[in-house]
Amino acid sequence: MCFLFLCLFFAAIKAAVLIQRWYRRYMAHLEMRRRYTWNIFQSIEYAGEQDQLQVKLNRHLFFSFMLDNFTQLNGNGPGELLDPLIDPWLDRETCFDTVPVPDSYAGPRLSFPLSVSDTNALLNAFKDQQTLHARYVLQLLYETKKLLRQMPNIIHLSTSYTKDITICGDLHGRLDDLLLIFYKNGLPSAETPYVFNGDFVDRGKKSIEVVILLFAYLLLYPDYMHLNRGNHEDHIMNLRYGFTKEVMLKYKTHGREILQLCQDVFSLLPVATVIDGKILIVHGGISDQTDLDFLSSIDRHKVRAKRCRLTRQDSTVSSSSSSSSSSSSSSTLCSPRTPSCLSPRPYPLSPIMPYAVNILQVPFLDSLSSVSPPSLPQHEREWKQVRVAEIQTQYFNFSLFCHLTLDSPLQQIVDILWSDPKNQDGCSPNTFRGGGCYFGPDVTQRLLLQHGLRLLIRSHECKQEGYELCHGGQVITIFSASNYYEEGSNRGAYIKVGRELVPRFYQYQVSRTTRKLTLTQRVRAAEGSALRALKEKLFTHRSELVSGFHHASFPGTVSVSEWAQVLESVLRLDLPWRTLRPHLVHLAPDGSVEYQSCFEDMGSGIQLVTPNLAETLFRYRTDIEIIFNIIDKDHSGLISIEEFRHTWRLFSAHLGVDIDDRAIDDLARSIDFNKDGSIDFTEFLEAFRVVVCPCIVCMCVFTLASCPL
Amino acid sequence: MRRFCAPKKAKKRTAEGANSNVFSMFEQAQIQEFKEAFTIMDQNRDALLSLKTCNDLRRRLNVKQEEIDEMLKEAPGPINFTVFLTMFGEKLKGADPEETILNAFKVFDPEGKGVLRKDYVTQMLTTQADRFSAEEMEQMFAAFPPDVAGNLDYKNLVHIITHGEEKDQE
Repeated sequence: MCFLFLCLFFAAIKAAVLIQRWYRRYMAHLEMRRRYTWNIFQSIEYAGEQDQLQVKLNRHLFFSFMLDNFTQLNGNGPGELLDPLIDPWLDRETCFDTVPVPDSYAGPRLSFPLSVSDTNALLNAFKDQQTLHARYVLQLLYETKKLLRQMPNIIHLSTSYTKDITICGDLHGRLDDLLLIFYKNGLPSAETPYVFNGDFVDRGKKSIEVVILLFAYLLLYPDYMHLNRGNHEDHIMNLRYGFTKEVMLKYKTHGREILQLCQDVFSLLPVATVIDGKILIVHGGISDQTDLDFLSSIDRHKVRAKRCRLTRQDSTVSSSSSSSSSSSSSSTLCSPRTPSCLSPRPYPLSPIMPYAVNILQVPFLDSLSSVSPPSLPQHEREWKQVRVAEIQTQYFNFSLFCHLTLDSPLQQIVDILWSDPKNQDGCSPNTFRGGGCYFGPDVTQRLLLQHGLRLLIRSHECKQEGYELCHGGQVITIFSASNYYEEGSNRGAYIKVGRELVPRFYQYQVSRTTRKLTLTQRVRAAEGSALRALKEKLFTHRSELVSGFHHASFPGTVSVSEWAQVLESVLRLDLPWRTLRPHLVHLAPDGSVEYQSCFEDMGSGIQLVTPNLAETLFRYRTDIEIIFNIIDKDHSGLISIEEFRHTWRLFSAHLGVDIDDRAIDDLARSIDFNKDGSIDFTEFLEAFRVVVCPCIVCMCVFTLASCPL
Repeated sequence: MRRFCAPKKAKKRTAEGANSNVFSMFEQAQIQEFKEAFTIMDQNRDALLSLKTCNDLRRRLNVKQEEIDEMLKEAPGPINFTVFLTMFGEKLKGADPEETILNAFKVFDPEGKGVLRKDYVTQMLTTQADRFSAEEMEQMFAAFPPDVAGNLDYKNLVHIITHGEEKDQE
């Protein structure tokens, strides 16, 4: 009897051990899944920036050109776009007074100078999902611009006049996070001063509301509210990452004006803040070239990417670089630092060799004329030709462009806005982002010592806990957009710092579901979203991958190792492929990988087109969307097939995308679902998304809109 | 991934004893998977796990502090892949088939009702063998809540976890 009892006793222990070990393993795996999901989101986000320099610049130039010319064609008049000698930002006084506000408008009616009742009205309105009328947006932006003009590049704050200063990082259009911060920490006031460290817009759906609030408080309390510029406060970024689209959707008629004013305001935002001469706050980071004194002295609003310019008189092209008055609104800070730029002291743009261009032979002038309104007056047409030729020149001389160094002010600002810290010493070009650099602990140490600083606070990178320390505690990354990649992906945080200058961290996370999700559910949801994004990425490189598989050791079968190697060599995302394998691809009974199975689960649009075309469309989906948004001036969601074809041809020609016209024609015809000559591009884009993989059981609903692509 | 030392080098570096044999304990494919797991945990990509990460893992897998300390004596400081493998390899590897775990639960449910009382489960798991902490127990019940009567449907629990795990390991 006793023996039996002992047996049972040991059996119980053995069973308990089994269960405990099994459950713990499950939790450890869950943690790994959480982490690799994070890795996937980050890799894809940064990989999007990793296009070859050439492609990047081409793309930027193309979209600048598009924007210029479509703005022109929009009937906004020649204005400053045709006359490059006037500095446009000075003259964009808007006649917001002439914008009528109907009696039926129930939203806030601001009166300037703003008072607390105005900002409270804004808060309440936005909580109620209302939109501020364009007239007030324009006026607010105009007043903000006037205020910012008086501010220096670097703002100096002191804790002796104020209580604890609160420092927030990227918000990226997340109104909920901003409201949560105000709720937890208090509204901006003399008792609660704030520094917002850039990236207020893009990605999130409420970017305009976020900036309205931030600017309103800036106007209300210019001594207690401080804004730094981020790399997303830039119009090319806005075109690509959603701010432009959001504004145009919400403010159809006045959207463009609002955007143009926003760009002016963005270019006037200070680039750095210093607290008590000890804590430096910038959006991105620093480089070994960073010189705070020099940075204080430049004209920050005039710093733009250089364009070589044509003189009107001769038909031969000669270029001169002028550092201040550049020709249009479409310049950007997105110029990347080139790897060849290694000299310690950059020198100004070297002139491009003159060459003759026969203006009439510019190829896409014809295409353009088919989408433009009929007859432009003579001088306008000439200018358009010259502008077009200007772009042509740049494309032609693109390889020269690559070797030009950025001039000093631009480089300083790009570094401040785009750099990331790294763990190893030294300073190397930030190839991930295509701008700024990676700066090591020694660079930090040197700069802090040089200026008598103690700490660098920056943002620019999403962190799971909302903040992270590095460089032995000398650098803090602060990020204030929770759930950035997906519901549950990360917390947001802010810093409070008082006279003792010791930072304290406060974390939070906005929750969109009323039911609290378990850890497992949250991981599953985020994982599902990440895997979908990853599959789309795989799809955009399908032909390369398949060709890689064909070269594997045995034709027809690919081992797991080989599969992983091919994936890494093509995609270079540095992800745990073996661990991810079950989610991406099936195994054959003999253990080899059925590599075609990872290209299933694609949207219905794939059926309509050839595999090559599908892949290209996937890869350029973001660009196509931008093209759509530029062409669709009235934001009906429809564009004409003709416009699409022409624009696509331009785009593919200038980016060297290898796709023939006939394929595009076929595509255009097949996506004109109702055969009326117009494309509903929302439908079109939906057709090229990955459908939900049925094998991943998702326990909660989330939107595809939060997909990082 | 490129930073990992080949097994031979690892053997040279570590002291004699369990560590030097750790690579022979696992199959090649398993080691590759562990490498990936290591890389996932290695957030700053310097081929070392921070002590904080290590402690997190240790707690999750219930590796005793003494065991860690023992190994850390030979390789002090942040953890490289070999040490990681030694410490956590055994605990991380393997997938118990559904049947095995079900039978383990059934030891406590001789009548085969399919459910266990929450208090009993708590007692069984927190007081013997590799005891669960109160936190772990709470976490389990948060993820797999018992019904209003206080009964835990262990069949469902096992099914969900195993089939979730299967996705990872196939």
